Amino acid sequence: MKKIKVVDKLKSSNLLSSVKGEILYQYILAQLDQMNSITLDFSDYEYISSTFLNSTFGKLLVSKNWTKEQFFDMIKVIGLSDDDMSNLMLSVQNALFKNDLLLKGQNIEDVYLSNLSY
Amino acid sequence: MFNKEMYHSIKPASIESIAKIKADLIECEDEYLFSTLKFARPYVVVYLDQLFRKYSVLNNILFLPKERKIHKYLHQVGFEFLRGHCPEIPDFNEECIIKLKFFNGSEEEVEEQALEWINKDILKFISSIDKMLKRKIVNNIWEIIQNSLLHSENLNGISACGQLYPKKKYFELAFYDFGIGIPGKIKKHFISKLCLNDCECIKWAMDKGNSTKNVPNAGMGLYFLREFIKMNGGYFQLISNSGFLGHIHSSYEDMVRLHNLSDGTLVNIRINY
Repeated sequence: MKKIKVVDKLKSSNLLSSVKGEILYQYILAQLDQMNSITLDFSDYEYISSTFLNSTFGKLLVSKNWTKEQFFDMIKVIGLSDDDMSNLMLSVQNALFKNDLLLKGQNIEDVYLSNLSY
Repeated sequence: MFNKEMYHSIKPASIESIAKIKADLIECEDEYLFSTLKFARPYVVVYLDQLFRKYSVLNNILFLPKERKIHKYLHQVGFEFLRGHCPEIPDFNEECIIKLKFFNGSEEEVEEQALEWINKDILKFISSIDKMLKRKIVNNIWEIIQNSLLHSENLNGISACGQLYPKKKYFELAFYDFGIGIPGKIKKHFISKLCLNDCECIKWAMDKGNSTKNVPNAGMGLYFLREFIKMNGGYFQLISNSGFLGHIHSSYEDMVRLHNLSDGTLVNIRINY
């Protein structure tokens, strides 16, 4: 299994922009063409945003149509704080939930409308 | 029910009063806009900055507050559209002022601008804080700025400034953009399908997973911000179009309908350190 140090790959410890998320996403896609799984090492990162998480992991889940189990079989994440790992999980769950509905033929807007509590 | 005692940062009536400055500026035919403004907090500064960036660029109108202390504060915080100066008024404590910053450009440029501002103007004064808290502060400030750049449809970027309260161990930050507004964006996107008033639109935008982006991997930024502020024991007020959503204690959130329609989106947060 290949291990990638994210801050080295992106040449930055500030993982805030969607542009950086997209770069990592494209890199992961290319790596997964050649191997079954990959480890992303986030050691030495300073900051990480929801935009970055959505642009990397959320997008990966959607483009591959993975289940949650398939996602964590293919992608191992190390080096994130507990808080940021928790945010990653929430981003993944959010993308997974909405993607599942899309695959079942539901419109995201209809999902929002049907889930309103006010 | 709006409880006046709970709001230490912004009162809805204050928002309504500063919204009138826009009409005065648009009608102004002089070289400067004379104002009897009686208060100046960070949220007023960012509102004025965006207002003047939008409306005074063509005819170079400057702002002249009657209150000399307000004039001095605006000068110190870095407001560029000020007429004259007040050397006779002593400076306010520089270490309590988080300077005004204007963010605009590509996402990468703004990321660099934001980090520079946060490190130079905010974290410098609270350098001994816990690393985890520092990370949360930076992440969430970015969420606010990036959200504006992504959704506001505003050519004039976003303005931010703040105030430090070292004895009380908290700081406040205000962000304002003169864009379409959260309710405006939601109504434009969903047209007539989503029948929410402006306050409900703001609340909707802060709920987990909600976004006007038509992709599944979106909609977490404002939710993370809200959860961070609640865990921190801080405050937030989000004002957009005629909606006012404020959070003061634990899970209590107050919604107020403003009487003067205001453009854009104002985010005011208080963070304890």
